[in-house]
Amino acid sequence: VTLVTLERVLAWRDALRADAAGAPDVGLSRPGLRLVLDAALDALDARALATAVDLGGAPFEAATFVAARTVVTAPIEWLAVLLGRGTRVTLKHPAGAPGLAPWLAEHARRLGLPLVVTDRREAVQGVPLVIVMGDDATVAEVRDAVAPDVRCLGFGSRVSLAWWPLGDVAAEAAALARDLAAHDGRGCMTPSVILTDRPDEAADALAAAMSEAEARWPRGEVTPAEHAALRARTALARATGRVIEGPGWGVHVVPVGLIDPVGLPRAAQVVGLGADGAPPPSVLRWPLSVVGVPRGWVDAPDVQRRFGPLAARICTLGAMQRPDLLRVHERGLDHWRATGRGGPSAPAEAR
Amino acid sequence: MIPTERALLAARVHAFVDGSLAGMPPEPFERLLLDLHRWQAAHDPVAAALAPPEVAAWTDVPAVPVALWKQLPVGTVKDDAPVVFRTSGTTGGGRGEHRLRDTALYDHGALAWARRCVPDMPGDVVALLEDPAVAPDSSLSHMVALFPRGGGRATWHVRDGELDRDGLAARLRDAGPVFLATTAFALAAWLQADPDPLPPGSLVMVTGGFKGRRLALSDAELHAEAEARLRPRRVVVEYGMTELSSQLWGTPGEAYLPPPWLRAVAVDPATGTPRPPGQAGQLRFYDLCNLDSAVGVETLDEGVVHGDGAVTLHGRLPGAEARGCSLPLEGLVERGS
Repeated sequence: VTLVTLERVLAWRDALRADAAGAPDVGLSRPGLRLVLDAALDALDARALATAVDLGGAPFEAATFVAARTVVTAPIEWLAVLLGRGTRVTLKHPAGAPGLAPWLAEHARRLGLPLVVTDRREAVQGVPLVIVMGDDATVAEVRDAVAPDVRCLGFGSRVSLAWWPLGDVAAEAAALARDLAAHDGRGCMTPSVILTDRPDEAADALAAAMSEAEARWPRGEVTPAEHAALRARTALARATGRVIEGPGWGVHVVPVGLIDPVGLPRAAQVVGLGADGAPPPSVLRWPLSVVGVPRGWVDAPDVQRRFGPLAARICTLGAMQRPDLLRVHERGLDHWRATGRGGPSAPAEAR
Repeated sequence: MIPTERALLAARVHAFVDGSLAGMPPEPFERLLLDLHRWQAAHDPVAAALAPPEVAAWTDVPAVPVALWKQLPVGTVKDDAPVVFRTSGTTGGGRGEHRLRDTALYDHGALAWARRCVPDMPGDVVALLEDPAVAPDSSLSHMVALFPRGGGRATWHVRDGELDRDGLAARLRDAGPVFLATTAFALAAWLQADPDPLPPGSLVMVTGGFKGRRLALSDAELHAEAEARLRPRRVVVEYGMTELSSQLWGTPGEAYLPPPWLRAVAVDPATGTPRPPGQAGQLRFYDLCNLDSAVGVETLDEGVVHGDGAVTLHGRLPGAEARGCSLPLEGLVERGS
């Protein structure tokens, strides 16, 4: 790794930040896009990046990143680490849905970083490292398509939740509303369910915070199918719990037995915990990504006991959609190591 | 006193079916729909919860989203329902339930409209469907079992989800004209086996049923191939849902015709506001025969409702293939029957 390469990656980060207004339309509102772009770029601090690129031993000379179905900023940290090592990267996006890919590549090209974009499926052939983010079927399809000696890291759909024993209600509600606003609720780090011991109080506080969040980062495009699902979620809460909604957001209090792991745009699904504070068993069977908890609770024995063995990451509310670059990605596994030749060969299969 | 009130409403719906088919409905659709809704809201917490404070016009009647039929006991019959039709559940998200006290209205309406739309239906029925004796919760099999007439019989040629090709071939050998009732998926599977033409004078009924599976053929291609290989007198299409008691019938390439006791409304998916005739939107149906459940059903399908009430289907609402990496919405959407 040369200092020059790292400096170019940091320059790329700065160029992206400076040109945020020039980023293509990806269906988020402009303030909404800025929110998630800032989160992704803030994670690329020089020290963390220097550490990450040193992990995993000798770099692969080339890699393909398949962004089949993921949030638009997900490739950024992976590109930064791979490009920082000197790996040539092809970013494969879905046909007709390039997202930020051309913009990321254009800024990389200007700085001499070897990043190209394509929508061709053949991009997964002929490279020693393939990273794929998509639904589970796509991940399996890509695994089957590559040669056995290719290192293939797959990331399927995941669910995140907030565990919220009420403390400083207003501050925590604002933090949670920020987590819900990022990517308009479509990310695997979005808290699709909020577990709390006082659902009505939580719902009121969250409604106020979500209204403010909507004013600051307006919701972007919502598809007809998403609208239909939102109306069904509203109907369910109206029939079984409570609904608070405003333009572009909604808070739905539903019973434990009717929790739905699917996150919907700017929709907070609030569920009351039992007297023992234990999460419902159905939730614990979900493929958990992030568990957000109030400030000061991350290392609490209760939290670690309940979620430590299940979640990839436990963090404070407000940081669910702002992961640090240096982190354990998947329950004890660090994927930056896996993207170097010396790293474990198939960490994703260990989950 | 649910039974007495229900019996009175059932009699009114029955009379509406008969009268409207004769061109003389005994009362306005709107009035009967509102009375049905008020009765349902009085006895069903779901209908009550979804109803606006004032239901003055029939379009104020809430349409219960199909997702709720999977999550809650929709309707006035709870766990002791004598009849339960269930969605297939093949695309995940659980199975929706349509609970009924009996199938009298269902049978009366379904049969009457099928006879009206397909007057030349042969009396012998060959169904590429599960036997209703094996799958009593399949509303589609239940409906098709109503169709034999004139000494005809129905035979069933899907078992455990697989097409019974040998039994089908044996059934059709030396048979007279048949009414072949099939899902699009089963028909496509059968056509791949290069079947012989159907007996002269046969009809083919194709209904939805892709249920999240990707079919290599478009509807038009499937119908054309069925015409070419099976050489039926004609192909008819049917649109139904587990959550509905009534069905729409049509001819390939043309709009579906609802019976007079079923109205379709296309709404703006974002707001639920009805769109004018001719504009595409999310389809809602208001079905007078849904006496025991909910008269209003909100689907996940997109289509156009024309000025005469006929419906052109466009398919699923777009955008179920969600962006982002959260669990996909598409796994939770499913069409019943």
